[in-house]
Parts: sequence; C-alpha cells; structure tokens
Amino acid sequence: MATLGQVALLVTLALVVYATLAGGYAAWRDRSRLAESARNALLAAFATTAIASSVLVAGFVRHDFGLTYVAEHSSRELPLTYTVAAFWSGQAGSLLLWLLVLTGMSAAAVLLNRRLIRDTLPWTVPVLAGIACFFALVPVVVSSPFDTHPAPPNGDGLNVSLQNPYMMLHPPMLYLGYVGLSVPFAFAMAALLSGRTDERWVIATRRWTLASWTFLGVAILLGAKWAYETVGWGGYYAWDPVENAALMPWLAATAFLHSVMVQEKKGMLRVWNVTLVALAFALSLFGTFLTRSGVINSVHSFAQSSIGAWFLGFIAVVVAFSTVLVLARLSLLRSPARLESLASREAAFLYNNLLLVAFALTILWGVAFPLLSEAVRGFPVTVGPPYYNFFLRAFGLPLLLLMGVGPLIAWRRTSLRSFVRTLLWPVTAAILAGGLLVAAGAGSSTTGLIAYTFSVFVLVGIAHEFVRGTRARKSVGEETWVGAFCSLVGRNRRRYGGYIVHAAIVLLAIGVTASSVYGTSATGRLQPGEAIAVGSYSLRYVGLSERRGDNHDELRARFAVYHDGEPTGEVSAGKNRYHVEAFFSNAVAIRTDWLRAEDLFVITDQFNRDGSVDTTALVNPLVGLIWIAGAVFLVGSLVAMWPDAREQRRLARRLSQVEALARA
Amino acid sequence: MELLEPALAGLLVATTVAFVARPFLRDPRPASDAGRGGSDADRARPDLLEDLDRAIAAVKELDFDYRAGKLAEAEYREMRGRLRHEAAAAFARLESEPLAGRRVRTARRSREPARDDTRARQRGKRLRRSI
Repeated sequence: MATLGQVALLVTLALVVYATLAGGYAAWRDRSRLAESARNALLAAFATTAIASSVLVAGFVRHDFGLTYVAEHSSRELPLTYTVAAFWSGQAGSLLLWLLVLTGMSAAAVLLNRRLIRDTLPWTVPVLAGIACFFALVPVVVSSPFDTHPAPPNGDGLNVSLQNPYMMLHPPMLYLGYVGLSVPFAFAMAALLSGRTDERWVIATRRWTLASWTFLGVAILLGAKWAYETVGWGGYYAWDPVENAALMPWLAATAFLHSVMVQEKKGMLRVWNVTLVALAFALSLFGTFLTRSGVINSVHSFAQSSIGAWFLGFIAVVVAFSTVLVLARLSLLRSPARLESLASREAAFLYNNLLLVAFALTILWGVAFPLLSEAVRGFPVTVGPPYYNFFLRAFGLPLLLLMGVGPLIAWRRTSLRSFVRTLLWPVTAAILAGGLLVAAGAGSSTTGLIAYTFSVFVLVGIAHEFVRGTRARKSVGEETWVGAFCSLVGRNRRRYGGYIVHAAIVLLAIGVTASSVYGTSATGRLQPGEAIAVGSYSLRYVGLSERRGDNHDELRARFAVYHDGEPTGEVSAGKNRYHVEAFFSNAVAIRTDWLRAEDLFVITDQFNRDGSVDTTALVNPLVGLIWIAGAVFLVGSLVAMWPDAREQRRLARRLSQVEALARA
Repeated sequence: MELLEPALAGLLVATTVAFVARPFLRDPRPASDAGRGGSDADRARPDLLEDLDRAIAAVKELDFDYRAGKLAEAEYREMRGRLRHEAAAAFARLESEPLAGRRVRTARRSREPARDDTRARQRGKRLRRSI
C-alpha cells in the first residue's frame, strides 16, 4: 500500500499549495468562489493526510517490513500498542503526525469559526495552508515514511526508551500543543492581513490557545513522569534542551492567555498580543526543530537528520513574515487606552507577562547558546542546570507572588487602603506558615522557605477569592451558598478555571521545591543481606530474580524495605534486556507513601560478578504533588474552556448587528 | 489486487479535484463573485460595538469588585461615574457613526434589519437605565 500512501501525501501537498496560492489571491482580489475552493482544498488535505496516516498505521500493524520506516521502528515481537505508537517514533512518522494534526485542526478551526470571522476567513485559509505546505513538503521531499526496500524477515525494533505507556501519550499531546498554536497564529495574521484587528480573532482563538496550552502542559508533565519512571536518575526534569523546547512555547502561551484578557477588558496590548502569538508559534517550531533535527544530544532527541536547515529556514520565514506584518499594521493596532495605575489587575498582568517572556527568552538563550557557540567557535559550551535554576528562582518566585496578588486587586486601579485590606488574610496566613516552617526545620533552604510562604499566600488568596465571590453573588440574589458558588463559577468560568490552574501551579511549585531542596539520597555496593539507610528508610538487599517478558528479559535486585525499623514490604529494581533491539534499560523501583507524601526511589546502577549490586536510594518528598498538580491543572483548564452560553449570546447579538449592517 | 491500489489512488485524486472545484461546478456563471470585503466604515463598526460591550462589562465588573470588597465606597463611586460616562459615550459614538443613517433607511426596506435596529434601540434604553 506504499503507493497509495505516497499518492495521498502528494495530493496533500498539491492541495495545500493550491489553498495557499488560490486562497491568497482570492482574499486579495475578493473572489468568493475561489476562496471557497481554497477552503475546500484545506478540508480535503485533512482527509488525504488521514488516508496517508492510515496506510502507515496499517503497515505497522501488518508488519509490512517492505516499508523502510516500519522496518526501522518495529519488530514482530513488539506489543501491539507500541507497534501503533511506533508511528511517531521516528522523524518521517512524527512529521506526518504534525501534518495530520495541523490539517485536522485547520479544518476544525475554519469550520467552527466560519461565522465569527467570516470576513477574515479568506485570509486564514492561506496562512494555515502555508504552514501545512512546509509540513507536507518535508515528508515528500526529505524524509518520506513510504520509502520501500526489500522486506527483511524482521524489523529493527523500537527504541526501548519509547516502550513506555507515557510515551504513547506524550508525543501526540506535545504535537497537539505545538500544532494548536498555529491556529491562533494564523487567525492573528489573517486579522492583520485583512485589516480587521478587532476583538473577533481573539475570541475565535481563545479556546484554541487554551486547548493547545493545556495539551502542552499535560505533555510536559507526562514527559516528566516518563523521565521519572524510565530514565532512572531519580529526577523528572533535567533542563534538557528538548524538555525546554516544550516549556518555552508554553510560557509564551501563558503570557498570551493573561495579556489577551487585558485586550478584551480594556482594548490595550494589541501589538503585544499578536507579537506573543507569533513568538509562541515560532517557539513551537523551534521545539520541533530541536527534537527532530538531531542538532543536540539528548535522551529525548530521537532523530539524526538533515531537516535542520529546512526548519531553520521556515522559522526565519515565519519570524520575518509576522514582524513585517505587525509593523505594517501598527497604526491599526494602536490603542487609545492607557494603564491607569501601577496597582491594578492589568498592571499585574503586564508584570507577569514581562517575567514569563523574560523567562522564556532566558531558556531560549540557554538552549541556543551551545548551538551558536559550536557554529561560531567550533566547540559547544554546556549550559547546565545551575544556569536554569538561577533564573527559575529569579523569575519563578516573583511570578508565584504575582499569581497571588493579581487576582486580589481590581481592574483599573486600587487604592493603598483597599490593597492592604485585600491582602490582609493571605499575608497573615503566609507569615504564620513561614514561622511554622522555620520552627519545623524547613529554614535550611531560603529558596524553599520563600517558595512555601508564597505558595500559602497564593492558596489562601485563591480561597479568599472564592469566598468573597460567593458572598458577593449571594448578596444580590436569594440563592443558597452552594447555588451562589455554582453560579459564581458558571458565570465566569475563565476566571475561576484560571484560579484552579493557579492552585495547580502552586501544588507544582511545592512539589518541585520539596523534591529538589529537601530530598535525601544514599549510594552503596550491597552484598546479599547488607543494608543501606536513606532518610527514615532502610533497604536490605535480599537477592536476584529473573523473568522473561514479551520482548525482553528482566533482571531484578530485591530489597526488603524498613521504615523506622518496621518492615513495610519489598521492592525490586534492575535492568531489562530487549531481545531484538539488543539494548539494556533501567527499571527503577518507586514506592509512593501517600500518607507521608514521599517517594522511595531505588536504582540499581550495576550488577557485579561477585554478586553485589551498586545501589542508589533516594527519598523524594512531596513529588506526588507534581502529578496531582497535573490533574488539577487539567480540571482548571476544562472549567476555563467550557463554553459560556451567556458570552455566546452576547457574541451572537454583536455578530447579528454587524451582519445586519453588512446586508444593508 | 494489483489494480486495487492504483484504482484507489485514482479515485482519491478524482474525488479531491471534484471537491475543490465544487464552487465553480455548482455555480459556473454567478451574477457576482465578490466576497465580503468592506469599506473602512464597515471595519470600524465591530470596534464600536466592542467598545460598547467593553464599557458595559467594565461597569458590571466594577460592581462585582465592590460587592467582593476590593474597592472602598469613595473610589467605587468615582470610578462608576467615570465608567458610566464612558459607556454612554460609546453608545453615542455607535449611534452617530456615518452608517447609522444607512441602517435606518435599510430598516424601512427590510424586516430583519428593522428587528436588529429595534433591538439596538431597546438595548440602548436598557443600558441608560442600568448605568
């Protein structure tokens, strides 16, 4: 079926090229039939990409090793779930996945918003199709998943790092996040091209941006969970360039989600918002470039290839195109509204934006500097965790504080008296918590103490906001407290969904701080019967065990676990040897104690000939909060994304007025 | 089976071409092929509606902030007065924009825009009462 796949890909390329050129001409010359035809081409491109993707998935499931890509990334022994996930394990497949998600999202965005942005839609189609041109061209010209060769009896197998349940979800989530950012970018550029820079492009893209941002956030956390359980060094985030590649667009999108509220409420920051959208999209392309070009050595960088130059060229085109367009439309984007006070909600959003963008650019510099150094001076310079940790403290702690202050102050301005009164409860709680933490011995780390104190401040501030809001709603109606609370959240889902997300970020901050500042570890070479102590735990090496899995052999060292001298069961850590791939991977032991909110993490670094094992044991406090934060983050995002009937009625009313006038 | 794959590929190409050409096949000689490009005044209209919606929302937001205890009585009264003035000004701008006369004339000819116009007038009255 390789021919069908190749034809489907070629047809996709032809369709998106047509949609770009014909759509651009139709928008420029105001031709309705040609614009509709270009839109149809974009919709059809999704169908043809889906056919190409189905052919590739069928190739994997049928073990069609005549397809080079299938032979290089799967084997007959590979379990079915990983066989399907092998689709995106290599460069050609992951680019096809990019294209599939992009054309799918483009089709959905164009269809769902056809009424709201009817007059900018003719420009949206060629911009989206233009992006798709690049992602259709690369699999056709540079790296095709449908190349064939004489079929070997078995494939090479799948990279063992990817044989993990989290890796089945992480890449699609990441791509949904990366690709999703192309929708707000296309709508913003279309608004600039058409000269319709009013609020509609913001409304049309709000949920797309929120969804992409949520996917990216969840993908980052899934990647962290994978690293924690699979890579086996005891941590979950190592400031690896590919990890940073996802964090940068997420930070830029976070800034946009905040600043766009200022545009909606006050009509300000229009230039800043289109710039942020372009920045987030360019960073998502840069992230794909880092992952797929092979320019960096990383545990996550699964490809070594020649597409780097193509990506850099495309990123340069995107940056140049959006910069020229923003500059050309500056007069339309200028707003008469001004910041009224430095102590207002919009000012807090502005500070938060500056910190988020500064942090994203700092990370970008850390990622790009070794590449630039190698290109200019001939040797790479490593930018390690101390650099990133310094800036995480420098920007992260003020951001945490602002997350608590921002929601408490009013729009436009707040007097000093009101400000002090509003902050009374959160500040009192934070000071009390700080005192208690010092008394409990948490003062050993100043950063930890500040982060915890700020976290309490934010959490109490959020709780206070819910209480005050519920009281305010109850004061205007005859609702019960529960009714007032539900109506409060229901009537302003974005705000209160946002507060839930803030609570998730606080949980994340507590988890990250505790596990990186207050963790303990111990290393030792253990003979059977010997023990190692770590924190309040003790591990006694019992002996070895072996087991044969579907496609690998398992070798495990068994340890009896004692907590405060009391036996609490057994854990096993060791190595897996994969048959086809001829590769060893770590299999760590993690015992989560939810009561004490800590993980006992055991790594067997080496099995020695004398029967001993080199063992590392860590106690990671509160690390479970990071995964709980992921669930809370998802709930908050869903609340914020949920359609608001009142807002939709308001928009429908406004649109009907605009359309009535257009008909006149 | 050897012919199946080329046949499927051919079908794919033919279906796609037909779908893309559909607007031209459906209406080969339209009376007008002009799209929805508009004048500068048309472009200004959503901005004015946006200003009005924003001003009304700002008054509601201020009321909520006051009830939630984020504002003192004096600053609430002062800001509310100013926001009411802004909302009224936004409404006046919308009413006096150059296309208003055209809308009224159209309202006489067409029933639906007339309903929109009536709605807008009713909304204006409600707005004046509420702020």
